[in-house]
Amino acid sequence: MIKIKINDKEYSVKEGLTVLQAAEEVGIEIPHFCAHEYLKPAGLCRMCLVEIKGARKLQTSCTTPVKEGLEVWTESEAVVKAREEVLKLHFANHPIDCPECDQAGECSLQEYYDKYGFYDNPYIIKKEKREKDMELSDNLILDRERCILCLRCVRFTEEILGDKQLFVYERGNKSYISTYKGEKIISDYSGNIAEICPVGAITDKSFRFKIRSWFLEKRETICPLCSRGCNIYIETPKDKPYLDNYERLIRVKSGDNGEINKSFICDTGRYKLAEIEKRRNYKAIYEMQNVNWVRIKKILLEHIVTLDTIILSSWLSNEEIDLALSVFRDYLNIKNIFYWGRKDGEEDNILIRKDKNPNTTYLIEKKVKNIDSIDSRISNLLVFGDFFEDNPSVKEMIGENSFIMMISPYLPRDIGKINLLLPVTNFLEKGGNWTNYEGRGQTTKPVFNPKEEIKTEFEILQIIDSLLRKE
Amino acid sequence: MKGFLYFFETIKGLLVTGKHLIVNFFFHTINYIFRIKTKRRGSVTTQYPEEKREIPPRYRTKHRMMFNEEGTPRCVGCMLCVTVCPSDCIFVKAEEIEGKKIATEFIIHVNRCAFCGYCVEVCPEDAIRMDSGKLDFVSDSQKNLSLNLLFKGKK
Amino acid sequence: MNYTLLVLIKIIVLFAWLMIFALYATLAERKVSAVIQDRHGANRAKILGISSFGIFQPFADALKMLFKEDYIPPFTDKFMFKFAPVITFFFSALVIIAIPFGEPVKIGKEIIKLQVIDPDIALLLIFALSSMSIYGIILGGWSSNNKYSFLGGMRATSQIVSYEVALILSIIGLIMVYPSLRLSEIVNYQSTLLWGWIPKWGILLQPLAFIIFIIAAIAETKRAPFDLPESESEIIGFFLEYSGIRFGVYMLTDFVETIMLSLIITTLFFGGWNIPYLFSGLKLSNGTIFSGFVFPWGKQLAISINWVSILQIIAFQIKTVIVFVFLLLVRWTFPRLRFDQLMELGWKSLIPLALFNIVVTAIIIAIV
Ligand code: SF4
Ligand code: SF4
Ligand code: SF4
Ligand code: SF4
Repeated sequence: MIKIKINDKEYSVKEGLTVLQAAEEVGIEIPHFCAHEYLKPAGLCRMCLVEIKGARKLQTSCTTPVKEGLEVWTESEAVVKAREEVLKLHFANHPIDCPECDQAGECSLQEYYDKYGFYDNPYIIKKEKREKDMELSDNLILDRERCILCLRCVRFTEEILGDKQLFVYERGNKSYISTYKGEKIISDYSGNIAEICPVGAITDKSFRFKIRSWFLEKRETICPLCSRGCNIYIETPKDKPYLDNYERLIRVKSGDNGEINKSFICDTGRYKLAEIEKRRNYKAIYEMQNVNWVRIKKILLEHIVTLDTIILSSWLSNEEIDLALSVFRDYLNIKNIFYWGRKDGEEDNILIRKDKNPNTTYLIEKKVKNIDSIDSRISNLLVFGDFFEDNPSVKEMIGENSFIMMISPYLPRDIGKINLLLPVTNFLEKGGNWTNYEGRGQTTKPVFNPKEEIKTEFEILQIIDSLLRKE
Repeated sequence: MKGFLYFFETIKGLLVTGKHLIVNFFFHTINYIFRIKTKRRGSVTTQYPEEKREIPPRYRTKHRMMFNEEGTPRCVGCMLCVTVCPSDCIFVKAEEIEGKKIATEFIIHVNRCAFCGYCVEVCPEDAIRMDSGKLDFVSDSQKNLSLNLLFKGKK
Repeated sequence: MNYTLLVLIKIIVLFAWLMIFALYATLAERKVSAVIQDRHGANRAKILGISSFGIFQPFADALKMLFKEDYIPPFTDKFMFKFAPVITFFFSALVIIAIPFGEPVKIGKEIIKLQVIDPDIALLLIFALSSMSIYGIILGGWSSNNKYSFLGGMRATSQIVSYEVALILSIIGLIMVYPSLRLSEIVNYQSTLLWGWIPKWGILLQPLAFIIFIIAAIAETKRAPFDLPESESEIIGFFLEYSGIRFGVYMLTDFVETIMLSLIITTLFFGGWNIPYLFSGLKLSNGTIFSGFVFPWGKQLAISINWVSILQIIAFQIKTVIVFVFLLLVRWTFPRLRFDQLMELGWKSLIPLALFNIVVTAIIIAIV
């Protein structure tokens, strides 16, 4: 810890930080565009200028490391004046089409203009005309007029992805961002580029003109699509009557967790969750007919005791796995308890893991066997989740006249085989603890309220438990 | 003594109303029975459907949408009016048409509108104005009071 | 001519007169209030595009009242509920039988009094009848099975009981002055002159009694500023549960009562059908019978006896209308009294004043 002075007040901060980070830590805001927590400092936008004792000129706070006895002023007259001038320059070519810009509401330029700007445009020259909707990749759109050349996007491809797909072309007033020969960006992480761009220069196609960002509410959760356990934000429309006709999941943004995913997520997590949301099922089905819970309890009571195989899903939370094991393994003494999940896929050394399920680690920890090791034939089966397609071997093991109960939030692809289907809440409607591939436990809260009659897996297990104990 | 004062004040009150009665009655008679137009009419009200008051230039009346020369609405669906509207009565939907964001649905529920004019003030494109001069929109159903401003016909 | 037939004809004519007057009283009320408040008032009812000052408005109103749903709330006393408006209307309209509309006229051989009956206790009769009409109001309030109506009825009762006292006491001064309780004789007495040039109108002989009488009488008719029993707009009165034509009857009763009040005031205080200095059948000193104006400065203007009768009837009507408009003016000028103020005014001001009036009158009569 070293002592520095900011605005004549003494603070003690960690060593090795830049002035910008140190100020942020103690709660002093220094405006900036190009500095990003997980990218190397570049000192390009000049927005973060501060006055430092001993320095002749104003210094960029994002590149100045803190050292013992440093004295900084962030709101002095010179700094305020400089900030205004820098903003003027940033706006020199900026089109200011906030009304149709998707970034509006979460745009740094807008925010700083509101806070530090309020000047009349001093330039008489016309603003540069440039390309306004260039496709940067299948999911990104670049507006070159709005770009303030902070180079966050370029640095992202260079530093995080390591393949440097974006470059700055030309010089000075004419410089612009582009890929080599205008080819499309190919990356599993391209969605992040739209997110880190501080202005509306690079925007997401899936969000384009859909809804204004200030109508959205951020809710934190964990991405279940691989065992990394990236933190994400689900954005959903606020409770307003005129937003009724939107889906509840508008977009996914990355959460910030330096130890797991920094502030990036992969494109699968970003775009696939909404797709999964669409296949929901809310009806309990018994032999192709709807049933109510009184009837279901009777059926459960009849068949639970004759169960011989349980297949747990690796999408269950720790608590649900614990309860399921105590009911089936300890109380009913069922030997054949397996787990299953989505089949393994590709992995890379940035974020994506081979295991595409959120909670396999905990199941292995609890000594549950993988479905691949199944050897006896199944006659009475209780199965969580619908992963028959990912595990084709299971189908072969199911004997004639078997009774299959499935607990799944989605409609199974092959409903004909299922004797009893119970609808449950999906991963966005329940909370719990999840253990990621490295054994790190993370807690989530429900993002959405489930429909009233829909129960969680935990509640269903509790019902089974109480039914058994009553007997 | 107090009662005495009251008594005189009541008489005074009667004189005031009595004066109104007689003077106004006189003007009513010569205006409406003998059809002699005088400057003074004996009443401060207007007989609404027949005579209408002049609408001042900045008076806020029914909304109207502005259109570009090409005939597309000026509204770009920035939703600022939706955000600012205190009665939650504007519904806007925008889509991308030839690379531009253009409103494809713009509905105002005049029934709920408070005629505060905030939507006009806030619009960055000057797309919506409240100067149509129409004050009397009457309907027997809620449906007809949801104005679709993008509809360019009469109405 | 048959006496019964004559009375019947008189009743029919008077009833028609009363109904037309009442109908246009509703219009007059709306118009007068509008004109006082710088408005136009009802002018939309048109027949063939002619509205001309809204003269068709009363008929439109009546039609509306007739076609409205006549709803009787459950748990009411059905018979009383239906009967109550009729009681009020009947008794307040009945007062008209004792009012003299003019001097007796001679048609052929018969002398016809312009008055249905002329009892010698007419003055007592009209006050007895008009205080009967309060029963309809109390019954209406009580039979509605509604606390607000009930309270309205209670207010009406206490208000009318309180003001009845002041009303009758103020009349006593008059009775002391006038020679009889017969209304035609009262009017006749008012036609004579005091000191040869002042008409002996009630208002001139008994100004204090007039003021007390008019205040108490307005309170009796339950109109603003004493409309606490009704007070449609906020504290809710006895006819809260009434709708349709029954409500209409109550409304009409209101106007009938006001008309009656103007008739009584005209008769008692404004000389009835008397036009000052206009005499019919005056025996001159030279023995001839003269009819026409005899002014105090000695000028004489002869008019035929028939014209004198017609003039007197018209004078009576005009006086009534003026008093009626004055009552409307009062109604649209003053705000309502609070109930405690109402009681204070009745008991603490009007009754002592009335007693004072009696004493002063008695002293003056004793001296003169
Ligand atoms: S980038 Fe920001 S300032 Fe520029 S148009 Fe978009 S919202 Fe407005
Ligand atoms: S596109 Fe965005 S991130 Fe890239 S340089 Fe421009 S403003 Fe910065
Ligand atoms: S005038 Fe006011 S209430 Fe009406 S639509 Fe505009 S903002 Fe909403
Ligand atoms: S504020 Fe103007 S441009 Fe924006 S949505 Fe409303 S009408 Fe359209």
